[in-house]
Amino acid sequence: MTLGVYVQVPFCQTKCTYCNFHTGPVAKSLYDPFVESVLWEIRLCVKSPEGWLKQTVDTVYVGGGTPSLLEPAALARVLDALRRAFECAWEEVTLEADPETISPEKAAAWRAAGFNRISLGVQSFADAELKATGRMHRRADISSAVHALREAGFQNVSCDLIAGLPHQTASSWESSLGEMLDVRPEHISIYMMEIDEGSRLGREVLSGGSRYSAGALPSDDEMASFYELACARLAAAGYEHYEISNWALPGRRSRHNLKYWKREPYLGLGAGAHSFSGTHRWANAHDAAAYVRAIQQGRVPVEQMETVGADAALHEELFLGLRLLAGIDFAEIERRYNVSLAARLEELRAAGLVAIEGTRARLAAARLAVSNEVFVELLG
Amino acid sequence: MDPQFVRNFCIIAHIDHGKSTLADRLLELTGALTQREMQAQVLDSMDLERERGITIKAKSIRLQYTARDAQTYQLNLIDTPGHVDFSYEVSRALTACEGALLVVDASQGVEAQTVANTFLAAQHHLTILPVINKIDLPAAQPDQVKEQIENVLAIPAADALLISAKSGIGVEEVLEAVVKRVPPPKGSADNPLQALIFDSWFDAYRGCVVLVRVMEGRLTRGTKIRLCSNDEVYEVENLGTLTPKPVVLEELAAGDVGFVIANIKRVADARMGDTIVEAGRPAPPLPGFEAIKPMVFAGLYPVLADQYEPLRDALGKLQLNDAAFFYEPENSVALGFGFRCGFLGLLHMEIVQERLEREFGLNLITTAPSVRYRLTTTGGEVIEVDNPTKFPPPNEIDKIEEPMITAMVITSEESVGGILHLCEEKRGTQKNFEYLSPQRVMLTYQLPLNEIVLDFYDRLKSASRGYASLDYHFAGYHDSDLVKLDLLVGGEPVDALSMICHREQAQERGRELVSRLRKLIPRQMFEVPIQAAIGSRVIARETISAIRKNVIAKCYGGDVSRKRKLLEKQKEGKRRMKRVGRVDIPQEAFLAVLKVTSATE
Repeated sequence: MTLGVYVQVPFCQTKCTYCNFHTGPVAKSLYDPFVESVLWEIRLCVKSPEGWLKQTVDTVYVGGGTPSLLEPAALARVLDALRRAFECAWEEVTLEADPETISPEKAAAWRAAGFNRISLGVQSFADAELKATGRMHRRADISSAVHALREAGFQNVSCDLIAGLPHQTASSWESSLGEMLDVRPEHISIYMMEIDEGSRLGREVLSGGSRYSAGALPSDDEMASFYELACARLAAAGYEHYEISNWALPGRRSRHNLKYWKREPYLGLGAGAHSFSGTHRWANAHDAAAYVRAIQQGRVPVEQMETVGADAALHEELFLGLRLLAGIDFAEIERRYNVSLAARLEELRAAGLVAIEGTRARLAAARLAVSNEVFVELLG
Repeated sequence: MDPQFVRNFCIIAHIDHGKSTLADRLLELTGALTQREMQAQVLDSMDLERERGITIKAKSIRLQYTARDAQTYQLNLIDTPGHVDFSYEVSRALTACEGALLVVDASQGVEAQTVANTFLAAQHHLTILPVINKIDLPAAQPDQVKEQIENVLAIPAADALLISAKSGIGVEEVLEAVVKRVPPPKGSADNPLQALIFDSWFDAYRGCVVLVRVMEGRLTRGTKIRLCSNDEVYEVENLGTLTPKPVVLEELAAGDVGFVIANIKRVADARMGDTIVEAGRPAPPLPGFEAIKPMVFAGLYPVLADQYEPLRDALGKLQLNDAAFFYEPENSVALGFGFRCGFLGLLHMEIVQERLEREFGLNLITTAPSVRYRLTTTGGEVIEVDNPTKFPPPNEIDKIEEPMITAMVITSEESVGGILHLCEEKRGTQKNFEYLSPQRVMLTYQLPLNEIVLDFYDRLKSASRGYASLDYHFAGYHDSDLVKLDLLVGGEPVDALSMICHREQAQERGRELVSRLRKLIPRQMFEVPIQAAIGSRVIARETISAIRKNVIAKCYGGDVSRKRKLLEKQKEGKRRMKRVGRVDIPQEAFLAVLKVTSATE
């Protein structure tokens, strides 16, 4: 098996209203110590006696936050350090970038550093929606960013859209989809807005307030309709729907993200990064300053660690595997975990929640947007 | 003691008018308890009784009083419960007395319970001594209260005693009045034994302790006694009186009040109102005995399934001491295993519920209270049903009768409008409307008991800003056009949501319940119709549309733990719901629907 490496850069220029992640604006003076710390953490890994770290690294993903805020030279140092530390056969090296942070010079520098894939945080092509959620770019920035990336030689670009931004309407959503297909990125992610306590917008909605355009949020049913429209439009445009939220042109599925769904090992570096060794999951300190402090004091920056027991592993196998449209080979899982799933899956099939072909089960197409309900049925 | 020096009396009063305080003063004055032993409100010894300011169980205390005529009298103070739920207990306790102190608060005046209990006392031919209490309060209006006593209760009040039990003013006069005005007991110790049981309780060491008033004859240790209601024979092991400390005596003779211990195992065997006679020389039973029947019923369910056994044990323990409380196992599709319980009334129900939670640490769900209906089936059979789920289908019912009550409400003039409206809404029929004074009105209504058990009392309190007082008594069964309203969720009837209501209210109740349920049941993966139906006829319907979005969006940097926790949380939420058919119904849906059923909310 191969290893994926994820580097988490938790910095942003502003905090988007819907963001429920441990990221946000920090003083630029923290950038350099942070990068230094990541380099030290890589060195720590080299010294680690853990066998799983000796595997060949085939994917690298630098995400955030907005890692494109870092100087290209800093990003290059990180990639170099990884090359030195690990056995490498890189197939996919992704950098997350926001459109307004991209210039032809930066794009060229990223390419030179070794990145071969850019994941672009587009979210919407409607300025009103971008503005209302605190995004820094506007519609015009998107095409110039993609142009710069193409010029620099990036042949693998992914774009994210969010279904369910405040002020989004059926027609504005259709326009965003259309413009996105005009850009024709190799990969598309579409996330439905999550309303929870973790974001400012979510808290506002839950408490019944009206700040952050909370009142202009589409209903759950509208979001579901947006998602369904996207499924149809993207399929018609030749994109393969391979995961609940992800589509790709043939051969362009994200190798790194697939590791998450397939429970393959990945090493997370940086503040708030998550790792999975196959038997354990852990997370680094989420607070960037705390992460830096730990590294500077020579401590492992891990904040929480858990052993994934047999039950939890089985659950993961099911709810992660079923996110993939290819589904799961339940006969193989039954064998590996010494459980029986067939009868339960058959019940779910009869209820129209899953489809079964041979020993493969997958979510019924109409149930993708209510996958949590299906998982709870299956796991409960 | 010669019966001419014995006085048996009780105190009747509306709640908070000072009954317990007066009792304490009487004990103090007669030296029954030293100051050090004096615990405020000795008669109300259960914690709950003290907190609620009510007396649940009747008790009696013997006092020695040397009056101004230099004679020493034996005064038996028999305590009576003040609440309507316990009116049978009150009537039994009254039978044990020759006189009653009618305590009325000098500022509050006559209240519903005063009226109800005074009528009861008058029916038992008791000599009633009006006592106006709290005369030292600035708001006291003793003259007006005297007038009310005369006008409303038809009791001469010129000689009413003016006292303040709290500060002790006039309390000595009360004792003198008891001696002078309450007649001594009749009856002769030489006649065949007739002793009235007016209370009993369970003592872990002595078994059942029975309180009696000996009407005729005498009881001594070793007497072979027979209980008239069940013909059981026992031998008296011990007897005596409470001062309030138990004092063992050689005998209890005609006119005496005291306790008897005779190896009776259960309080249910020593039924209130029963007569004890001598096994070898039986006299006829005293009149007035009735088996106590519960009036109000509800399901009690443990919130957690593993509390079923503890709940069963606790109910058993409560019943040892409370013959009026009834329970049997019951099984609800929605709530699982629990018990159907019968109570004397709403207060009794609340007390049992509170004791279960407080003394036994149980966490309970109580279903909406209901009453016992009398059904005549098309086959001509008469059955009694206290649980809506046990109702036969409508085509098998020929006739339904429901229990009625006569309710007396005393209220201020300005809240009369709201209360009349409430009584009409609750299907009441006005029987009387009387001004007690220009500001106070007494209303008498005939009402179905099932309307009272839901939220009548709360609404009465809010309609009158807390001032109205209520008392009621059972007034037989009446024919009524009642229907069983079923609630169907996803096409499946949900037993715990069924209710009995009048046909004319069914439509409105049905709509209201359906719309409330629609808001409380979360969206499911399929459309869920919610229907209210009478038999097979649907009278209200709403639909919960299928859920379309519940998905975790992004897997931020491979944070799988967060997803797993989120799913665990959803799973946990599901587990707390009850699945009926294919639909998951949250506990709150049952409770919210069961608790509130008033049309105005």
